[in-house]
Amino acid sequence: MYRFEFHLLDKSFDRTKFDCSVPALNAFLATQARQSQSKGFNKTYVAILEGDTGKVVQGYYSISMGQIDLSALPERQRKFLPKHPVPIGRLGRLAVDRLMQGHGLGRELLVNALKRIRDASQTIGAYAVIVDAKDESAKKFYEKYGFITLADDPMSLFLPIESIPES
Amino acid sequence: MSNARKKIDILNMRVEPTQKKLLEKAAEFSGQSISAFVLDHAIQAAHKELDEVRKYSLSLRDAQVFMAALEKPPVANSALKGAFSAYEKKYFKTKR
Repeated sequence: MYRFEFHLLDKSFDRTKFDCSVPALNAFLATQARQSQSKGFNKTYVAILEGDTGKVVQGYYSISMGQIDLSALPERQRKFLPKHPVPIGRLGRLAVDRLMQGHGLGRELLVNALKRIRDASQTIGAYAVIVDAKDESAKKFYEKYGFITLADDPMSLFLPIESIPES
Repeated sequence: MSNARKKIDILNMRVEPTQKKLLEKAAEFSGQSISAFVLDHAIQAAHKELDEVRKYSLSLRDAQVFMAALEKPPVANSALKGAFSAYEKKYFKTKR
């Protein structure tokens, strides 16, 4: 069984070999991730094999804070939620190198990301995690773990923070 | 909506002659006017930037589903619970 280390992306990691077979996700890691991170838009975390001194990226995810606009909801139905946009954690991307697929790394990245978002929500507040599925198989992945699909935005799924397991 | 007259705004900008030449050349290459070319690419770049700070606007029915889920958060399903406990076991079994 492979063991991984999870780190915040910095320039010391080797991103040149990464190929998850989705061009947009490859390009993000190779050309946008660091810039996007330094601008404060999001944070990218990478997984490498434990002890890999070459620090070759095997998988990654990026997370950020986001907002959900619930103004469609009549006021009396909004209950305990703030009137203004509701803060959420957003899991924008999650990808595994194709040579590493099938070893459970996607699942481990998801757990790592959800723990991080849950911890952040305790200090700065967030009600849910939203994910953007890039394709049908990504969508099935999130559905398997209980994410709820939005009917009118079917590539977006969410999970209440409170539904994230404790451990 | 579809019959409304399109409102047009003007955006002026200064460019260096060499930059303008470059843009002209590229626009010609792609078969567009220079302003169509510049606008096209600028709009793409803008979408790319804003994609990172996307705001989700929920429809009424999605907002209701969202609200209901927050009010009564579903218990994590067995796949998610299993993923968390496998992770804990693998990485934190001896430590912690």
